[in-house]
Amino acid sequence: MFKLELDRVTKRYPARGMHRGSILSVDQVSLQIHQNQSIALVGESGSGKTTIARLVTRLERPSSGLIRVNQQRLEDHSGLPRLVQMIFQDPFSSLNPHYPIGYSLERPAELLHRISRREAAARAAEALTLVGLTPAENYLDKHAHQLSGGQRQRVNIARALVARPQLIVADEPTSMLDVSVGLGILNLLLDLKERSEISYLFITHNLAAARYVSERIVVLYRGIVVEDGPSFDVINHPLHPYTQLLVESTPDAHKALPRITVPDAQEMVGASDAGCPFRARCPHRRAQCEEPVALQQREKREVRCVLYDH
Amino acid sequence: MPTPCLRVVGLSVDYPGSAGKVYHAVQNVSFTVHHGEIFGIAGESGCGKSSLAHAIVRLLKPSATVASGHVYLDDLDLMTLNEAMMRSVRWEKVAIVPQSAMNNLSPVLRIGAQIVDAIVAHESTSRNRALDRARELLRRVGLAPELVASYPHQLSGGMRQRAVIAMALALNPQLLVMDEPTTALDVVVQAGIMHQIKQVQREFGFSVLVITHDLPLLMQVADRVGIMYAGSFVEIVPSPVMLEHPRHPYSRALMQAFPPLLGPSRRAPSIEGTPPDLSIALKGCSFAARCPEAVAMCGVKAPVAMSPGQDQLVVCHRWEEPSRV
Repeated sequence: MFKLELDRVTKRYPARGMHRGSILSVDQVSLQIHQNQSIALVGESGSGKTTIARLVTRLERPSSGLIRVNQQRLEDHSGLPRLVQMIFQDPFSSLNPHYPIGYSLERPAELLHRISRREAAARAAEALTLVGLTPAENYLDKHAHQLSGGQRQRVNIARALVARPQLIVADEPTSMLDVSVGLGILNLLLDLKERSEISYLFITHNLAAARYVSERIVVLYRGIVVEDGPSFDVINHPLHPYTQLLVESTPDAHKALPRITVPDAQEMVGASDAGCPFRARCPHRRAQCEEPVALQQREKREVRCVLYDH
Repeated sequence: MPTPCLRVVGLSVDYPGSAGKVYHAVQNVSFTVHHGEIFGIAGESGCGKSSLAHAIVRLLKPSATVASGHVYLDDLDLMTLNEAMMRSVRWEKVAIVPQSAMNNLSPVLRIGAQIVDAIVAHESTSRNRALDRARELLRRVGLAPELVASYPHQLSGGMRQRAVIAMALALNPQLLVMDEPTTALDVVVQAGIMHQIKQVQREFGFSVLVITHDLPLLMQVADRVGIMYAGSFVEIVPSPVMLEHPRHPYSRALMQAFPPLLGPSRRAPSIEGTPPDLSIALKGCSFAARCPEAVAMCGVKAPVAMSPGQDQLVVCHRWEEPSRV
């Protein structure tokens, strides 16, 4: 059974420009992804979502903490690309413009699974069919520039699939696409999950899309997990004040425009201090918020807020 | 009937393509925006919504041409004005907040100076008095008046966006045009700004033409929404009517393309196919090829615009039939 675990993973980047020290992008994040599970990471820009995606795919190494995949340390894992694949946000820059689509799909299959060119070609055609680009022969010889954004994102998904991964990390896969096209991509991801044992780490700023694709939602704020629970519960009964604000602010044609009075977040500068990172904007702020708060267990959920610190 | 704030009549915008092709980005569009109304336009990339907005304020790219039509602001036909007259109308009567405007502030001037520049270009007033007004404008959009002394880089994205909205309101325009005003911002900041715009609009009574691809947001903000597809409106109705009873199949499909936040979670069908090539004249309905409810007539005969109610529009052969979806 596939399992990926993050155990108190922290990532710091050196600060650039006028700032000294380092920027804490991900702060002691722990989470688990099981086989055939879809987990959504939700948060605003700078909350550390993409950094977690890059840590899980080993594009970055953690500053501290441990990532394990199937009980093995991620950094020692020799076959990681056969287990974990990524779909990037920008379908216009994530395919090599020089090569035909067929090459972009066959090469990873050949290299990762040491199969013949003929077998790789068959696998590429199969993957294109799976993502709805049919008949596959019509696409194998095309170049990226001959495809629409939605088609390119389907090719990216096909490229991930030829590796036969257990986990696909999808970093805002629809944010650069039109809504109707984006919905087609989300439906494709759901179809693949129903037909196989694949798991997703789905990264989005859109709470409604998170619920659509994932059973579990993890809410990040400035690099820390503030809430984690089943999607339905997190959206219908948000516990953390930030999650409450996020739910209230998410556009919903059935609701009146909310009256949002919290101040805007200021740009993140330097490492954060020990207290709750949301306290400057929080309507429930109190003295204890200046101190670090532990994640509290509440049935199937976790929340990091002094309101629930009993 | 009182004179509407904005009346667009038969407006068409063309762009030249390669090999002598002409792309008809906006096709014979007519609609009105009443005084004190927030009118929203939704549609997907390439439907012509931005071209329509820019044609109204006459800020299209030089390659584009207004092939036909009139734009009346009260009784003034903007299409007949010379460039000097248009310059005085812009900002004073109609102001635009273009897409990603928050990144268009000058990095080397203080926020206050940039607002003052706009005011003194149009009015004979002193810079000091204009600066007082800039402070008041910032307060109006929910920013601290002291921020007149700040440079853009000292403000967050949301604060800069509020500042450009304050700038657009500097000369009390009767119409504010906003093209994707909150698209690059996170949802909490977006909701705050939208609420503020609505509050200021209710207080001062100007009209707003707001464009976004985010239909749920638009329905929260706008009194009336127009859905654009392939260069034209397919439906215009008050937001509550759109929510309860969208008549055009594309309106329904677009509404469904946004998964709901609350309520039961179920699969929504995506819209298959792609929009038509706007350089080719179509015989039938522009949506017919992708429409799940199309009948034979839809492919051969263009539907006529019908008005199911006052200030409403629907362009579909089957608009009177109850939805089969």
